[in-house]
Amino acid sequence: MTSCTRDVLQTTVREVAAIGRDAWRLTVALPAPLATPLAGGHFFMLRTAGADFPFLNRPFSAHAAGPDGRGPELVFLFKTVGRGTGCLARLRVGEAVTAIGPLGQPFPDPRPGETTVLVAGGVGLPPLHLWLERRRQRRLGGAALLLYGARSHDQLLELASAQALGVEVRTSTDDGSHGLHGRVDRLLEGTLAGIAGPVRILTCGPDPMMAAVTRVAATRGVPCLVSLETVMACGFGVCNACAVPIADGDGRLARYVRACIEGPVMDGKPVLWQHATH
Amino acid sequence: MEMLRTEVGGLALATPLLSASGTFGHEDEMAEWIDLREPGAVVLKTVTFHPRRGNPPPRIVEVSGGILNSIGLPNEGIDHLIAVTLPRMRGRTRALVVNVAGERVDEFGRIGEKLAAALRANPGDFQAVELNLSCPNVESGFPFAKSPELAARCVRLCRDHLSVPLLAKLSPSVADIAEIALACKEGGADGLTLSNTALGLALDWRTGRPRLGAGHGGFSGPALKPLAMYLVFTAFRKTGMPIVAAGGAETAEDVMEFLAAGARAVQIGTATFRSPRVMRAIEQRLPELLAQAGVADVAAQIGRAHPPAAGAKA
Repeated sequence: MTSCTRDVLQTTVREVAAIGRDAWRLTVALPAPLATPLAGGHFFMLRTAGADFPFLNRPFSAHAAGPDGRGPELVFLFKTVGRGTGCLARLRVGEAVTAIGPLGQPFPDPRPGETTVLVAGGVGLPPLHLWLERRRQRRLGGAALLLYGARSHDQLLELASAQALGVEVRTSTDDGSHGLHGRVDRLLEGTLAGIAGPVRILTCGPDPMMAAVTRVAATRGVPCLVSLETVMACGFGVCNACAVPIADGDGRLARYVRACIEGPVMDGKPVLWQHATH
Repeated sequence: MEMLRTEVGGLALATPLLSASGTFGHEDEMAEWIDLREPGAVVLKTVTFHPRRGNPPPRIVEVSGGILNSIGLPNEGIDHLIAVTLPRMRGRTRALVVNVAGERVDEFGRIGEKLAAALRANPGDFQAVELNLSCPNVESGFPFAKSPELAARCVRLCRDHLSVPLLAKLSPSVADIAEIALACKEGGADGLTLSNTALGLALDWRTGRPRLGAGHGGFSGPALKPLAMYLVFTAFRKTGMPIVAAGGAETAEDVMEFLAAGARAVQIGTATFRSPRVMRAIEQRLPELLAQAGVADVAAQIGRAHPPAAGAKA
Protein backbone atom coordinates (compact mmCIF):
# COMPACT_ATOMS: atom_id res chain seq x y z
CA MET A 1 0.00 0.00 0.00
CA THR A 2 1.53 3.32 -1.02
CA SER A 3 -1.08 5.58 0.54
CA CYS A 4 -4.31 5.45 2.56
CA THR A 5 -7.65 6.95 1.69
CA ARG A 6 -10.87 7.00 3.78
CA ASP A 7 -10.97 3.44 5.03
CA VAL A 8 -11.03 1.06 7.96
CA LEU A 9 -7.36 1.49 8.84
CA GLN A 10 -5.30 -0.73 11.11
CA THR A 11 -2.94 1.49 13.07
CA THR A 12 -0.24 0.75 15.62
CA VAL A 13 0.18 2.56 18.92
CA ARG A 14 3.43 4.53 19.07
CA GLU A 15 2.89 6.35 22.37
CA VAL A 16 0.33 7.00 25.09
CA ALA A 17 1.47 9.95 27.21
CA ALA A 18 -0.14 11.57 30.24
CA ILE A 19 -0.35 15.31 29.51
CA GLY A 20 -2.53 16.70 32.32
CA ARG A 21 -5.24 15.85 34.78
CA ASP A 22 -6.96 12.74 33.32
CA ALA A 23 -5.69 13.83 29.91
CA TRP A 24 -3.71 11.80 27.40
CA ARG A 25 -1.95 12.09 24.07
CA LEU A 26 -2.27 9.05 21.83
CA THR A 27 0.06 8.66 18.87
CA VAL A 28 -0.67 5.95 16.30
CA ALA A 29 1.04 5.03 13.05
CA LEU A 30 -0.96 4.47 9.87
CA PRO A 31 0.06 1.62 7.55
CA ALA A 32 1.01 4.26 4.96
CA PRO A 33 0.72 8.04 4.54
CA LEU A 34 -2.70 9.46 3.72
CA ALA A 35 -3.29 10.29 0.05
CA THR A 36 -4.89 13.63 0.99
CA PRO A 37 -3.59 15.83 3.81
CA LEU A 38 -5.84 16.22 6.85
CA ALA A 39 -7.39 19.53 7.86
CA GLY A 40 -8.49 20.62 11.34
CA GLY A 41 -11.81 18.99 12.18
CA HIS A 42 -11.22 15.72 10.36
CA PHE A 43 -11.90 12.88 12.77
CA PHE A 44 -11.45 9.14 13.11
CA MET A 45 -13.56 6.51 14.85
CA LEU A 46 -11.10 4.66 17.11
CA ARG A 47 -11.30 1.34 18.92
CA THR A 48 -8.83 -1.18 20.27
CA ALA A 49 -8.63 -3.74 17.46
CA GLY A 50 -10.50 -6.94 18.20
CA ALA A 51 -11.71 -5.86 21.64
CA ASP A 52 -15.29 -6.58 22.70
CA PHE A 53 -15.29 -3.47 24.88
CA PRO A 54 -15.93 -0.67 24.28
CA PHE A 55 -18.62 -1.87 21.89
CA LEU A 56 -18.69 1.22 19.69
CA ASN A 57 -15.86 3.10 18.10
CA ARG A 58 -15.32 6.59 19.55
CA PRO A 59 -14.85 9.76 17.50
CA PHE A 60 -11.61 11.73 17.97
CA SER A 61 -10.46 14.77 16.00
CA ALA A 62 -6.89 14.63 14.78
CA HIS A 63 -4.57 16.92 16.76
CA ALA A 64 -1.44 16.56 14.63
CA ALA A 65 -0.81 14.71 11.40
CA GLY A 66 2.89 14.73 10.55
CA PRO A 67 5.08 17.12 8.56
CA ASP A 68 2.70 17.40 5.60
CA GLY A 69 -0.65 16.48 7.15
CA ARG A 70 -0.56 12.97 5.70
CA GLY A 71 0.80 11.15 8.73
CA PRO A 72 1.90 8.43 8.85
CA GLU A 73 1.79 9.25 12.56
CA LEU A 74 -1.46 10.74 13.85
CA VAL A 75 -1.88 12.36 17.26
CA PHE A 76 -5.13 12.48 19.26
CA LEU A 77 -5.86 14.04 22.66
CA PHE A 78 -8.47 12.69 25.01
CA LYS A 79 -9.67 12.83 28.60
CA THR A 80 -10.56 9.73 30.54
CA VAL A 81 -14.24 10.19 31.30
CA GLY A 82 -15.45 6.58 31.41
CA ARG A 83 -14.48 2.97 30.89
CA GLY A 84 -14.09 3.41 27.12
CA THR A 85 -11.55 6.20 27.27
CA GLY A 86 -9.95 4.34 30.20
CA CYS A 87 -9.20 1.48 27.80
CA LEU A 88 -7.51 3.89 25.40
CA ALA A 89 -5.36 5.28 28.22
CA ARG A 90 -4.14 1.74 29.00
CA LEU A 91 -3.08 0.99 25.41
CA ARG A 92 0.52 -0.12 25.11
CA VAL A 93 3.08 0.64 22.43
CA GLY A 94 2.69 -1.77 19.54
CA GLU A 95 -0.99 -2.57 20.17
CA ALA A 96 -3.37 -2.35 17.21
CA VAL A 97 -6.05 0.33 17.03
CA THR A 98 -8.73 0.34 14.34
CA ALA A 99 -9.25 3.82 12.93
CA ILE A 100 -12.13 4.48 10.55
CA GLY A 101 -11.52 7.69 8.67
CA PRO A 102 -10.68 10.38 7.92
CA LEU A 103 -14.29 11.49 8.39
CA GLY A 104 -16.30 14.70 8.48
CA GLN A 105 -16.21 18.23 7.13
CA PRO A 106 -13.15 20.10 8.42
CA PHE A 107 -12.58 23.78 9.14
CA PRO A 108 -11.84 25.85 6.01
CA ASP A 109 -8.36 27.23 5.43
CA PRO A 110 -7.66 30.86 6.33
CA ARG A 111 -8.71 33.57 3.89
CA PRO A 112 -6.29 36.32 2.89
CA GLY A 113 -7.11 39.66 4.48
CA GLU A 114 -9.11 38.04 7.26
CA THR A 115 -8.12 37.48 10.87
CA THR A 116 -9.02 34.03 12.17
CA VAL A 117 -9.63 33.87 15.91
CA LEU A 118 -9.41 30.27 17.14
CA VAL A 119 -11.19 29.62 20.45
CA ALA A 120 -10.37 26.33 22.16
CA GLY A 121 -11.80 24.95 25.38
CA GLY A 122 -9.89 22.23 27.27
CA VAL A 123 -9.71 19.00 25.31
CA GLY A 124 -11.33 20.80 22.34
CA LEU A 125 -7.90 21.96 21.19
CA PRO A 126 -7.13 19.26 18.54
CA PRO A 127 -9.03 20.51 15.46
CA LEU A 128 -7.70 24.03 16.02
CA HIS A 129 -4.18 22.78 16.67
CA LEU A 130 -4.25 20.84 13.41
CA TRP A 131 -5.67 23.89 11.63
CA LEU A 132 -2.69 25.93 12.83
CA GLU A 133 -0.27 23.16 11.94
CA ARG A 134 -1.67 23.01 8.40
CA ARG A 135 -1.57 26.81 8.11
CA ARG A 136 2.11 26.83 9.03
CA GLN A 137 3.09 23.85 6.89
CA ARG A 138 1.36 25.22 3.80
CA ARG A 139 2.32 28.85 4.51
CA LEU A 140 -1.31 29.91 4.20
CA GLY A 141 -1.95 33.64 4.54
CA GLY A 142 -4.13 35.60 6.90
CA ALA A 143 -3.56 36.59 10.50
CA ALA A 144 -4.54 34.17 13.24
CA LEU A 145 -4.46 33.93 17.00
CA LEU A 146 -5.46 31.26 19.48
CA LEU A 147 -7.53 31.84 22.60
CA TYR A 148 -7.30 28.84 24.87
CA GLY A 149 -9.46 28.45 27.96
CA ALA A 150 -9.81 25.77 30.61
CA ARG A 151 -10.93 25.33 34.20
CA SER A 152 -7.38 25.38 35.48
CA HIS A 153 -3.79 25.58 34.21
CA ASP A 154 -3.34 21.79 34.21
CA GLN A 155 -6.21 21.47 31.74
CA LEU A 156 -4.54 23.74 29.19
CA LEU A 157 -3.29 20.72 27.26
CA GLU A 158 -0.28 20.78 24.96
CA LEU A 159 0.09 24.52 25.49
CA ALA A 160 3.77 24.52 24.48
CA SER A 161 2.91 22.67 21.27
CA ALA A 162 0.23 25.24 20.46
CA GLN A 163 2.61 28.10 21.23
CA ALA A 164 5.10 26.68 18.74
CA LEU A 165 2.70 27.02 15.80
CA GLY A 166 3.60 30.59 14.95
CA VAL A 167 0.63 32.52 16.34
CA GLU A 168 -0.04 34.46 19.52
CA VAL A 169 -1.71 32.33 22.19
CA ARG A 170 -3.83 33.97 24.91
CA THR A 171 -5.13 31.87 27.76
CA SER A 172 -7.88 32.05 30.33
CA THR A 173 -8.71 29.84 33.30
CA ASP A 174 -11.80 29.72 35.47
CA ASP A 175 -9.62 29.67 38.61
CA GLY A 176 -7.17 32.31 37.43
CA SER A 177 -4.19 29.93 37.55
CA HIS A 178 -3.11 30.85 33.99
CA GLY A 179 -3.89 33.87 31.82
CA LEU A 180 -7.13 35.78 32.19
CA HIS A 181 -9.14 34.88 35.30
CA GLY A 182 -12.49 34.02 33.74
CA ARG A 183 -14.09 32.24 30.86
CA VAL A 184 -12.73 32.17 27.35
CA ASP A 185 -15.74 34.00 25.91
CA ARG A 186 -14.71 37.04 27.99
CA LEU A 187 -11.23 36.74 26.54
CA LEU A 188 -12.85 36.62 23.11
CA GLU A 189 -14.86 39.79 23.73
CA GLY A 190 -11.73 41.70 24.68
CA THR A 191 -9.81 40.29 21.75
CA LEU A 192 -12.45 41.12 19.13
CA ALA A 193 -12.57 44.71 20.39
CA GLY A 194 -8.91 45.06 19.45
CA ILE A 195 -9.07 43.67 15.89
CA ALA A 196 -9.75 45.88 12.89
CA GLY A 197 -11.04 44.39 9.62
CA PRO A 198 -12.82 41.16 8.80
CA VAL A 199 -12.72 38.37 11.41
CA ARG A 200 -13.83 34.76 11.45
CA ILE A 201 -14.07 32.64 14.58
CA LEU A 202 -13.37 28.90 14.67
CA THR A 203 -14.13 27.16 17.94
CA CYS A 204 -14.12 23.76 19.60
CA GLY A 205 -14.82 22.88 23.21
CA PRO A 206 -17.65 21.91 25.54
CA ASP A 207 -21.15 22.82 24.30
CA PRO A 208 -21.77 25.59 26.89
CA MET A 209 -18.48 27.23 25.95
CA MET A 210 -19.23 27.05 22.21
CA ALA A 211 -22.72 28.41 22.89
CA ALA A 212 -21.17 31.38 24.69
CA VAL A 213 -18.62 31.92 21.92
CA THR A 214 -21.38 31.77 19.31
CA ARG A 215 -23.36 34.40 21.27
CA VAL A 216 -20.37 36.73 21.40
CA ALA A 217 -19.84 36.25 17.67
CA ALA A 218 -23.50 36.93 16.89
CA THR A 219 -23.48 40.09 19.00
CA ARG A 220 -20.53 41.38 17.00
CA GLY A 221 -21.84 40.12 13.66
CA VAL A 222 -18.77 37.89 13.23
CA PRO A 223 -19.09 34.53 11.43
CA CYS A 224 -18.40 31.60 13.75
CA LEU A 225 -17.79 27.99 12.81
CA VAL A 226 -17.99 25.34 15.53
CA SER A 227 -16.65 21.78 15.62
CA LEU A 228 -19.24 19.71 17.44
CA GLU A 229 -18.60 16.72 19.62
CA THR A 230 -21.60 14.39 19.84
CA VAL A 231 -22.36 10.81 20.67
CA MET A 232 -21.82 8.78 17.51
CA ALA A 233 -22.37 5.12 16.79
CA CYS A 234 -21.00 4.92 13.25
CA GLY A 235 -19.34 8.20 12.20
CA PHE A 236 -20.23 7.76 8.53
CA GLY A 237 -23.86 8.85 8.27
CA VAL A 238 -25.98 5.75 8.73
CA CYS A 239 -26.94 5.54 12.41
CA ASN A 240 -28.48 9.02 12.81
CA ALA A 241 -27.36 9.18 16.45
CA CYS A 242 -25.29 12.37 16.19
CA ALA A 243 -28.29 14.65 15.71
CA VAL A 244 -27.57 18.36 16.03
CA PRO A 245 -30.68 20.51 16.57
CA ILE A 246 -30.93 23.38 14.10
CA ALA A 247 -33.22 26.38 14.60
CA ASP A 248 -35.50 28.07 12.11
CA GLY A 249 -35.52 31.87 11.75
CA ASP A 250 -37.62 32.21 14.91
CA GLY A 251 -35.26 30.19 17.08
CA ARG A 252 -37.48 27.09 17.14
CA LEU A 253 -36.33 23.57 16.37
CA ALA A 254 -36.51 23.15 12.59
CA ARG A 255 -34.57 19.95 11.97
CA TYR A 256 -31.67 17.80 13.01
CA VAL A 257 -28.49 17.41 11.01
CA ARG A 258 -25.85 14.69 11.38
CA ALA A 259 -22.67 15.91 13.04
CA CYS A 260 -20.68 13.14 11.33
CA ILE A 261 -21.29 14.01 7.69
CA GLU A 262 -22.88 17.46 7.68
CA GLY A 263 -20.31 18.38 10.37
CA PRO A 264 -18.57 18.17 12.74
CA VAL A 265 -17.67 21.68 11.56
CA MET A 266 -20.69 23.84 10.86
CA ASP A 267 -22.06 27.35 11.27
CA GLY A 268 -22.65 27.84 14.99
CA LYS A 269 -25.39 30.43 14.64
CA PRO A 270 -28.42 28.18 13.99
CA VAL A 271 -27.37 25.45 16.46
CA LEU A 272 -29.94 25.16 19.26
CA TRP A 273 -27.48 24.69 22.09
CA GLN A 274 -30.11 24.20 24.81
CA HIS A 275 -31.38 21.12 22.93
CA ALA A 276 -27.92 19.72 22.20
CA THR A 277 -27.52 17.71 25.38
CA HIS A 278 -24.37 15.85 24.46
CA MET B 1 -21.81 -17.92 -5.67
CA GLU B 2 -24.46 -20.59 -6.22
CA MET B 3 -24.15 -22.14 -2.75
CA LEU B 4 -25.14 -18.85 -1.08
CA ARG B 5 -28.46 -18.45 -2.90
CA THR B 6 -31.63 -18.39 -0.87
CA GLU B 7 -35.19 -17.19 -1.06
CA VAL B 8 -37.61 -15.81 1.48
CA GLY B 9 -41.33 -15.40 0.86
CA GLY B 10 -40.78 -15.02 -2.88
CA LEU B 11 -37.79 -12.67 -2.56
CA ALA B 12 -34.84 -14.28 -4.38
CA LEU B 13 -31.48 -13.52 -2.78
CA ALA B 14 -27.98 -14.09 -4.13
CA THR B 15 -26.63 -14.25 -0.58
CA PRO B 16 -28.42 -14.71 2.76
CA LEU B 17 -27.09 -11.37 4.05
CA LEU B 18 -29.30 -8.28 4.22
CA SER B 19 -28.70 -4.94 5.82
CA ALA B 20 -30.99 -4.26 8.76
CA SER B 21 -33.24 -1.26 8.39
CA GLY B 22 -31.90 1.81 10.14
CA THR B 23 -28.27 0.70 10.08
CA PHE B 24 -27.50 1.22 6.40
CA GLY B 25 -28.63 4.79 5.79
CA HIS B 26 -31.59 6.44 4.12
CA GLU B 27 -30.28 5.77 0.61
CA ASP B 28 -26.76 5.26 -0.75
CA GLU B 29 -24.64 6.49 2.20
CA MET B 30 -22.89 3.10 2.39
CA ALA B 31 -21.74 3.18 -1.24
CA GLU B 32 -18.52 4.78 -0.06
CA TRP B 33 -17.73 1.71 2.04
CA ILE B 34 -19.04 -1.27 0.13
CA ASP B 35 -20.44 -2.06 -3.29
CA LEU B 36 -24.20 -1.85 -2.75
CA ARG B 37 -24.44 -5.04 -4.84
CA GLU B 38 -22.61 -7.05 -2.18
CA PRO B 39 -25.55 -7.66 0.21
CA GLY B 40 -28.22 -10.10 -0.90
CA ALA B 41 -30.56 -7.17 -0.40
CA VAL B 42 -30.28 -3.64 0.90
CA VAL B 43 -33.05 -2.79 3.35
CA LEU B 44 -33.60 0.96 3.57
CA LYS B 45 -34.30 2.94 6.72
CA THR B 46 -37.93 3.12 7.77
CA VAL B 47 -40.05 5.59 5.84
CA THR B 48 -43.32 6.90 7.29
CA PHE B 49 -46.24 8.53 5.50
CA HIS B 50 -45.31 12.00 6.75
CA PRO B 51 -41.71 13.22 7.28
CA ARG B 52 -40.37 12.86 10.83
CA ARG B 53 -37.59 14.84 12.51
CA GLY B 54 -36.64 12.09 14.91
CA ASN B 55 -36.04 12.20 18.65
CA PRO B 56 -34.02 14.67 20.75
CA PRO B 57 -30.40 13.72 21.51
CA PRO B 58 -28.80 11.79 23.04
CA ARG B 59 -30.12 9.12 20.71
CA ILE B 60 -27.68 6.30 21.46
CA VAL B 61 -26.00 5.06 24.61
CA GLU B 62 -23.63 2.16 24.92
CA VAL B 63 -24.71 -0.55 27.38
CA SER B 64 -23.36 -4.01 28.20
CA GLY B 65 -23.38 -6.17 25.07
CA GLY B 66 -24.67 -3.53 22.70
CA ILE B 67 -26.42 -0.21 22.41
CA LEU B 68 -29.72 1.38 23.30
CA ASN B 69 -31.19 3.76 20.72
CA SER B 70 -34.08 6.15 20.43
CA ILE B 71 -33.38 7.56 16.97
CA GLY B 72 -37.09 8.15 16.42
CA LEU B 73 -37.40 7.19 12.73
CA PRO B 74 -36.21 10.47 11.18
CA ASN B 75 -37.10 10.34 7.49
CA GLU B 76 -38.36 12.49 4.63
CA GLY B 77 -41.65 10.64 4.14
CA ILE B 78 -43.02 8.29 1.50
CA ASP B 79 -43.28 10.90 -1.27
CA HIS B 80 -39.56 11.69 -0.95
CA LEU B 81 -38.72 7.99 -1.05
CA ILE B 82 -40.59 7.60 -4.31
CA ALA B 83 -39.46 10.86 -5.92
CA VAL B 84 -35.81 10.90 -4.83
CA THR B 85 -34.57 7.75 -3.11
CA LEU B 86 -35.87 5.06 -5.46
CA PRO B 87 -34.53 6.77 -8.63
CA ARG B 88 -31.18 7.24 -6.87
CA MET B 89 -30.99 3.56 -5.91
CA ARG B 90 -32.19 2.26 -9.28
CA GLY B 91 -29.99 -0.54 -10.60
CA ARG B 92 -27.44 -0.23 -7.79
CA THR B 93 -28.45 -3.17 -5.58
CA ARG B 94 -29.07 -6.85 -6.22
CA ALA B 95 -32.38 -6.44 -4.43
CA LEU B 96 -33.87 -3.44 -2.70
CA VAL B 97 -36.27 -3.78 0.21
CA VAL B 98 -38.28 -0.74 1.20
CA ASN B 99 -39.09 -0.55 4.92
CA VAL B 100 -42.21 1.39 5.85
CA ALA B 101 -44.24 2.20 8.94
CA GLY B 102 -47.53 3.92 9.56
CA GLU B 103 -48.12 6.07 12.58
CA ARG B 104 -51.84 5.24 12.22
CA VAL B 105 -53.36 2.02 10.94
CA ASP B 106 -54.80 3.62 7.79
CA GLU B 107 -51.38 4.96 6.80
CA PHE B 108 -50.23 1.42 6.00
CA GLY B 109 -52.89 1.35 3.28
CA ARG B 110 -52.00 4.81 1.99
CA ILE B 111 -48.31 3.89 1.90
CA GLY B 112 -49.11 0.62 0.11
CA GLU B 113 -51.12 2.52 -2.48
CA LYS B 114 -48.28 4.95 -3.17
CA LEU B 115 -45.71 2.14 -3.39
CA ALA B 116 -47.93 0.21 -5.81
CA ALA B 117 -48.22 3.29 -8.03
CA ALA B 118 -44.44 3.75 -7.89
CA LEU B 119 -43.91 0.15 -9.00
CA ARG B 120 -46.38 0.53 -11.87
CA ALA B 121 -44.44 3.59 -13.03
CA ASN B 122 -41.03 1.97 -12.56
CA PRO B 123 -41.29 -1.81 -12.33
CA GLY B 124 -38.34 -3.39 -10.54
CA ASP B 125 -37.48 -0.34 -8.42
CA PHE B 126 -37.81 -2.49 -5.32
CA GLN B 127 -38.22 -6.21 -4.82
CA ALA B 128 -39.96 -6.43 -1.44
CA VAL B 129 -41.53 -4.38 1.32
CA GLU B 130 -40.74 -4.80 5.00
CA LEU B 131 -43.39 -3.47 7.38
CA ASN B 132 -41.94 -2.02 10.57
CA LEU B 133 -44.73 -2.93 12.97
CA SER B 134 -42.70 -1.91 16.03
CA CYS B 135 -43.38 1.75 15.38
CA PRO B 136 -45.67 3.20 18.07
CA ASN B 137 -49.22 3.80 16.93
CA VAL B 138 -49.88 7.48 17.64
CA GLU B 139 -53.59 6.70 18.00
CA SER B 140 -53.03 4.40 20.97
CA GLY B 141 -49.36 4.87 21.89
CA PHE B 142 -49.14 1.11 21.50
CA PRO B 143 -46.88 -0.58 18.92
CA PHE B 144 -48.85 -2.41 16.23
CA ALA B 145 -46.61 -5.43 16.70
CA LYS B 146 -47.99 -6.04 20.20
CA SER B 147 -51.52 -6.74 19.03
CA PRO B 148 -52.37 -9.60 16.63
CA GLU B 149 -55.45 -7.72 15.41
CA LEU B 150 -53.64 -4.44 14.75
CA ALA B 151 -50.68 -6.16 13.13
CA ALA B 152 -52.96 -8.16 10.84
CA ARG B 153 -54.89 -5.03 9.82
CA CYS B 154 -51.68 -3.13 8.97
CA VAL B 155 -50.41 -6.01 6.84
CA ARG B 156 -53.79 -6.44 5.12
CA LEU B 157 -54.10 -2.74 4.23
CA CYS B 158 -50.69 -2.85 2.55
CA ARG B 159 -51.24 -6.29 0.98
CA ASP B 160 -54.41 -5.05 -0.74
CA HIS B 161 -52.26 -2.80 -2.93
CA LEU B 162 -49.00 -4.70 -3.29
CA SER B 163 -48.09 -7.96 -4.95
CA VAL B 164 -44.35 -7.89 -4.17
CA PRO B 165 -43.15 -10.01 -1.21
CA LEU B 166 -44.24 -8.52 2.10
CA LEU B 167 -42.22 -9.11 5.26
CA ALA B 168 -43.69 -8.27 8.66
CA LYS B 169 -40.95 -7.05 11.00
CA LEU B 170 -42.08 -7.88 14.52
CA SER B 171 -41.08 -6.72 17.97
CA PRO B 172 -39.31 -9.13 20.34
CA SER B 173 -41.04 -7.46 23.28
CA VAL B 174 -44.22 -9.57 23.06
CA ALA B 175 -45.59 -12.53 25.02
CA ASP B 176 -46.29 -14.89 22.10
CA ILE B 177 -44.43 -14.30 18.85
CA ALA B 178 -46.24 -17.14 17.05
CA GLU B 179 -49.66 -15.59 17.70
CA ILE B 180 -48.58 -12.27 16.16
CA ALA B 181 -46.80 -14.05 13.30
CA LEU B 182 -49.87 -16.10 12.39
CA ALA B 183 -52.01 -12.95 12.49
CA CYS B 184 -49.61 -11.34 10.02
CA LYS B 185 -49.84 -14.43 7.83
CA GLU B 186 -53.64 -14.09 7.91
CA GLY B 187 -53.19 -10.47 6.91
CA GLY B 188 -51.22 -11.57 3.89
CA ALA B 189 -47.57 -11.41 4.96
CA ASP B 190 -45.22 -13.60 2.91
CA GLY B 191 -42.63 -13.78 5.63
CA LEU B 192 -41.34 -12.42 8.92
CA THR B 193 -38.36 -10.40 10.04
CA LEU B 194 -37.49 -11.54 13.56
CA SER B 195 -37.04 -9.29 15.06
CA ASN B 196 -36.48 -5.66 16.00
CA THR B 197 -34.70 -3.97 18.91
CA ALA B 198 -35.96 -4.97 22.36
CA LEU B 199 -37.42 -2.31 24.63
CA GLY B 200 -34.84 -1.12 27.11
CA LEU B 201 -33.93 1.64 29.52
CA ALA B 202 -30.68 3.14 30.75
CA LEU B 203 -30.59 5.56 33.67
CA ASP B 204 -28.03 7.97 35.01
CA TRP B 205 -27.78 6.84 38.64
CA ARG B 206 -26.62 10.29 39.74
CA THR B 207 -29.71 12.11 38.53
CA GLY B 208 -32.15 9.23 38.16
CA ARG B 209 -32.90 10.48 34.66
CA PRO B 210 -32.88 8.44 31.41
CA ARG B 211 -29.63 8.50 29.45
CA LEU B 212 -31.57 8.76 26.17
CA GLY B 213 -33.24 12.01 25.16
CA ALA B 214 -36.54 10.27 24.49
CA GLY B 215 -36.51 8.17 27.69
CA HIS B 216 -36.54 4.49 26.84
CA GLY B 217 -35.18 2.96 23.65
CA GLY B 218 -34.49 -0.18 21.68
CA PHE B 219 -31.63 -2.52 22.56
CA SER B 220 -29.47 -4.04 19.82
CA GLY B 221 -26.11 -5.70 19.56
CA PRO B 222 -24.60 -9.13 20.25
CA ALA B 223 -26.43 -9.61 23.56
CA LEU B 224 -29.72 -9.61 21.61
CA LYS B 225 -28.71 -12.70 19.61
CA PRO B 226 -29.95 -15.49 21.93
CA LEU B 227 -33.29 -13.72 22.23
CA ALA B 228 -33.63 -13.41 18.45
CA MET B 229 -32.46 -17.02 18.01
CA TYR B 230 -35.26 -18.21 20.26
CA LEU B 231 -37.85 -16.16 18.35
CA VAL B 232 -36.65 -17.52 14.99
CA PHE B 233 -36.58 -21.08 16.31
CA THR B 234 -40.03 -20.80 17.89
CA ALA B 235 -41.70 -19.03 14.98
CA PHE B 236 -40.24 -21.55 12.51
CA ARG B 237 -41.55 -24.47 14.55
CA LYS B 238 -44.98 -23.02 15.26
CA THR B 239 -45.76 -21.18 12.01
CA GLY B 240 -43.53 -22.60 9.28
CA MET B 241 -43.35 -19.08 7.81
CA PRO B 242 -40.29 -17.90 5.88
CA ILE B 243 -38.09 -15.91 8.28
CA VAL B 244 -35.39 -13.29 8.00
CA ALA B 245 -33.41 -13.19 11.24
CA ALA B 246 -32.32 -9.90 12.80
CA GLY B 247 -30.67 -9.50 16.17
CA GLY B 248 -27.03 -9.22 17.10
CA ALA B 249 -25.45 -11.13 14.20
CA GLU B 250 -21.84 -10.01 13.74
CA THR B 251 -20.01 -13.01 12.33
CA ALA B 252 -20.42 -15.78 9.77
CA GLU B 253 -20.85 -18.19 12.70
CA ASP B 254 -23.80 -16.13 13.93
CA VAL B 255 -25.35 -16.31 10.46
CA MET B 256 -24.91 -20.10 10.36
CA GLU B 257 -26.67 -20.36 13.74
CA PHE B 258 -29.63 -18.28 12.59
CA LEU B 259 -29.92 -20.37 9.43
CA ALA B 260 -29.91 -23.55 11.52
CA ALA B 261 -32.65 -22.10 13.73
CA GLY B 262 -34.83 -21.71 10.66
CA ALA B 263 -34.01 -18.32 9.15
CA ARG B 264 -33.76 -18.22 5.35
CA ALA B 265 -31.68 -15.03 5.46
CA VAL B 266 -30.03 -12.88 8.12
CA GLN B 267 -29.88 -9.13 8.58
CA ILE B 268 -26.69 -7.44 9.75
CA GLY B 269 -27.44 -4.29 11.71
CA THR B 270 -25.57 -2.80 14.63
CA ALA B 271 -22.39 -4.61 13.57
CA THR B 272 -22.19 -2.26 10.57
CA PHE B 273 -21.76 0.69 12.94
CA ARG B 274 -18.61 -0.94 14.29
CA SER B 275 -17.29 -2.01 10.94
CA PRO B 276 -18.82 -0.75 7.68
CA ARG B 277 -17.52 -3.73 5.70
CA VAL B 278 -18.58 -6.44 8.11
CA MET B 279 -21.03 -7.94 5.59
CA ARG B 280 -18.24 -8.50 3.10
CA ALA B 281 -16.17 -10.31 5.71
CA ILE B 282 -19.11 -12.53 6.66
CA GLU B 283 -19.91 -13.41 3.05
CA GLN B 284 -16.31 -14.35 2.34
CA ARG B 285 -16.25 -16.75 5.27
CA LEU B 286 -19.61 -18.46 4.72
CA PRO B 287 -18.46 -21.05 2.12
CA GLU B 288 -15.77 -22.30 4.49
CA LEU B 289 -18.26 -22.62 7.35
CA LEU B 290 -20.77 -24.43 5.13
CA ALA B 291 -18.03 -26.90 4.28
CA GLN B 292 -17.10 -27.32 7.96
CA ALA B 293 -20.76 -27.94 8.79
CA GLY B 294 -20.86 -30.58 6.07
CA VAL B 295 -23.67 -28.98 4.11
CA ALA B 296 -23.60 -28.23 0.41
CA ASP B 297 -25.22 -24.83 0.50
CA VAL B 298 -27.20 -22.26 2.49
CA ALA B 299 -30.48 -23.99 1.62
CA ALA B 300 -29.23 -27.17 3.33
CA GLN B 301 -28.31 -25.26 6.50
CA ILE B 302 -31.77 -23.69 6.91
CA GLY B 303 -33.72 -25.26 9.75
CA ARG B 304 -31.11 -27.90 10.63
CA ALA B 305 -31.94 -27.43 14.32
CA HIS B 306 -35.41 -28.86 13.72
CA PRO B 307 -36.61 -32.40 13.00
CA PRO B 308 -37.14 -33.00 9.26
CA ALA B 309 -40.92 -32.43 9.35
CA ALA B 310 -40.79 -29.10 11.16
CA GLY B 311 -41.34 -25.95 9.14
CA ALA B 312 -42.60 -28.06 6.25
CA LYS B 313 -45.72 -25.95 6.09
CA ALA B 314 -43.57 -23.20 4.56
